[in-house]
Amino acid sequence: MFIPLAVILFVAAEFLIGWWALPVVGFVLGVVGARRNFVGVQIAGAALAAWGLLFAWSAVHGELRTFLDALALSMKLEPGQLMAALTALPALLAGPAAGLGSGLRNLLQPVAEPARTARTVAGLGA
Amino acid sequence: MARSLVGTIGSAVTAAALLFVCARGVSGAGIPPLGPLLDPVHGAAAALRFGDLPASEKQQIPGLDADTRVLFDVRGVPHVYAANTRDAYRALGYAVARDRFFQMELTYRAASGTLTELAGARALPLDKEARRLGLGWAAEQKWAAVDSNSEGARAMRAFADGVNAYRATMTAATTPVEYKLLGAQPMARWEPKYSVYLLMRMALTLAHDPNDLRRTRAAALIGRDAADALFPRNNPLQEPIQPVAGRTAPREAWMPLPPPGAPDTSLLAPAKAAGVVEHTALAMPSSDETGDALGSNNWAIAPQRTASGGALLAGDPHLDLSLPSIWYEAHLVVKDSLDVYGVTFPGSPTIVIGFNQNVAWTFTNTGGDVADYFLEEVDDPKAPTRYKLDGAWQPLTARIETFRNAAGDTVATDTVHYTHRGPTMNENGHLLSFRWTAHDPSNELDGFVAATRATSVAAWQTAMLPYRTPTQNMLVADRAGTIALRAHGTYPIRANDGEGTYVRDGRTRANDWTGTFDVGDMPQALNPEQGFIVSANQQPFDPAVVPRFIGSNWPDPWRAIRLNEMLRADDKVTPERVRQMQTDPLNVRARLIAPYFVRAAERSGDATLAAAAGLLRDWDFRYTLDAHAPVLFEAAMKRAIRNTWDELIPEKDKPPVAVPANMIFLEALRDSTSIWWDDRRTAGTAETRDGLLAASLKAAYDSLTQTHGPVGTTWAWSKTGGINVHHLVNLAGFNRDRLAVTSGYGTVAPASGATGSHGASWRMIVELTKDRRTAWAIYPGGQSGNPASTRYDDRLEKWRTGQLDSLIVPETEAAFPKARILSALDLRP
Repeated sequence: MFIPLAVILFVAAEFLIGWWALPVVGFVLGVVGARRNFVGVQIAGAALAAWGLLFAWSAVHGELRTFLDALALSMKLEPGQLMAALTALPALLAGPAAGLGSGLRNLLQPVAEPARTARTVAGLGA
Repeated sequence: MARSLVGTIGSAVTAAALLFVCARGVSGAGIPPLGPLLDPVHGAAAALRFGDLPASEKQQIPGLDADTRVLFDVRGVPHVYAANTRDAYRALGYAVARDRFFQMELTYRAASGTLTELAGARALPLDKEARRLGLGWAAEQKWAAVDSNSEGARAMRAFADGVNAYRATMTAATTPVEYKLLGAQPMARWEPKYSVYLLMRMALTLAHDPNDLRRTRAAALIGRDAADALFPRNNPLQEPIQPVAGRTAPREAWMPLPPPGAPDTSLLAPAKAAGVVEHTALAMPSSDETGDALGSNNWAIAPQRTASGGALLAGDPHLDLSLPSIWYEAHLVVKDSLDVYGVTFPGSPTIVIGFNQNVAWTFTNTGGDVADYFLEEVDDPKAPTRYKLDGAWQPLTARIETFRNAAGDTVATDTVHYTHRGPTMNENGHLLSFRWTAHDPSNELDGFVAATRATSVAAWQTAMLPYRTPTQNMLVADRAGTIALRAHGTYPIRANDGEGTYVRDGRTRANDWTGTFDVGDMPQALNPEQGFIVSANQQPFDPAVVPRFIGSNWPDPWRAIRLNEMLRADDKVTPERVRQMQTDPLNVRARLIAPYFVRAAERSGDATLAAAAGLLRDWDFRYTLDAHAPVLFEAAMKRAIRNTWDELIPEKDKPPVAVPANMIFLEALRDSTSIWWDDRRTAGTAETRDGLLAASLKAAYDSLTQTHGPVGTTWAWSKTGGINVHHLVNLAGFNRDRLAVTSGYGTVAPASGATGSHGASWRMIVELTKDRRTAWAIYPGGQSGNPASTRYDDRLEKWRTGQLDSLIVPETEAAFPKARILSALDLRP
């Protein structure tokens, strides 16, 4: 449920604080999910999915593709370059923020290393 | 532990760098803040969600006197039903701001020289020029002189209330996409005085003509006699605006062109200064540069010459075409007081061109000479503090202009010196002062506001008496069948020769203006015997009838000639016929000039020229989309013009200082022995008229064959002509370029060609009979400034093909046809 919840959180936060939702929610989710494997990647994916949903919502109201192509031309970009930026941006903003959040938590609340070491030693001993 | 720390620091650095780019952008690389721009909820894509008007909406306007209803018809036109005129202007302000806020701010900032606060340092040259021309200074003076109780002032305040009410509702999501691309924020408030700045901007477009500078530079090369002939006071082909009784054809007054003379050395210093000033970004382009497309047409037909027995009025101002359009269409209704429909400039509180229940009106630019430049003698050319006047030193007034960025930080300063005449431009150590009618205090809006309520032509003309600048040929018709035209505005009376055609000597007051002409001295016509009135920027008076000087080097009369001949040939004119006239593809310029090419080609005996001549000979001079001949004619003309006026090229590889009008080229064509045909760059060879024409035609034919292949479909005018409608700040994705139109340089609906963007900005026809008013109109674009809206360019195709929309003008809310309502906006106090 972590990833669907993350997507919902990103979508909700987008309405409240706009694109800042990516680093802010990404950081918070990074702290919360610090113990998960590849948490940065998971949260980047959730951010990407959230933006995908939100753009799909805009597409209901008009010709999104045509508009984005025109926007790209106005920015002196190829349409593909803008699409790449739109895809990369949520992942690149949310992912490192999540990495920062999880890293800080792990630094401040390290996982109980001795227990793991003891298990390993015991295993070897066996 | 160490690995985790390194990873965390890496994430922190990456996140910080990305956040910086997303929040601030990279101004050096032209990258706007990507976060707010690409944000799917509040960024550019949000424009899609706000492209359509809601079916119904309720909003508040603080200060509104009573509930006001705005019904948007299916064309996106707001019909305002208000309890009083102030509320009508408030509602208009709200509606215009909702559709065009970015355009309003951009236009205001362009006039006030504060574009840097919106677009950053890249706009600094434009801002400096606007301030050196005194646009903001004049607007401040005008605003200070406005009577705060005047109708115009009240309208501006009410309009600003509406704009600011909308501004208060604006969110990040509804902020126009242009701000997001620029990384800028919309201005916090619209002040009433900004409407005055807007009119200054129009004065710059329509009444800042550097003719004097061009003529001065030309005379410095070829002497005054030749310069006066090439840039003449009077057109050699007269089809004046003020009709001449009994005349049924243009009057010809051709004169042989005098040969180029010795340079006028007394003009070398002013010419040097003029050369710099003229080539500034804001200078009005010459008709040669715009393909005659900066101008306008209007005509009115009296009841005795219409099929319906009512008056017909048509107008199409030709301006820089943009998306969104320079115009915004609206209908304002206040019971028993106001019922006016038409177009306004976004930022102006009232209808500029349009009609009410009894009267219809439209404008063309009168042009003429309303500005003079004076070469001043100063104490220190590099750091002047005084200028000499009648032998005594006078202090220059220094105005420090400060340019700021969006954060309010100063990015540059500039000192503009003022003489008693106006602002000065200091170039190459020469100080030119600028005297311009647009700098004088005036309140044009008083006239516009009062005119919207006029019930007759006479009342309308009286209402417009306060109007000063830019001078316009104001054409009016009413339900009683009266048609009239009068040029409203100010023309200076000059001492000495009475003309201001060269840079003047600033050292004496004797060269100053001594007054202005009375309205009775202006070009005008009232119910002329011929039964119609036509203005198309041609010389207003025939000098053989009225020798009064109000300008020189008037635009070519091709459009006027064509319109007059069509109207003379039809005494049962219908609105449909008027619509056809507005986009009539026949080019009088080509009809008069092309035969010279044909004759020159036929005399040559060359096979290529025979083919080229055949193409032109069989041509009906119409710029239809599938025609081949206009492609060849325009290419040949370009070469012939360039090769003829080589005497005006100051140095090798430099552009000519000025290019005479095509009409003067035609005047030269009439004299095969003229010395102007010789190319002074080919020593030892004496070129002839026919040789030059044949060579130009052959080169054009060869070049077109090389580019497009043999004559065929790829030569079609639709492929090589055309017109561009650019976005306001030329954002490529939002432009609509290379539209194929049946227009060219000299046709009634002009087009400035494949690289230009001037043309008919609003086409309107109004029929006024005793029992009804009926109107049709269109402009290229749409009501919305939002590029994601279907209303951004929904009228473009109709406009391109010369069609008009039938306008609905319900006098009451109840009479509004339900099927034609797109959206309802209820405004409450």
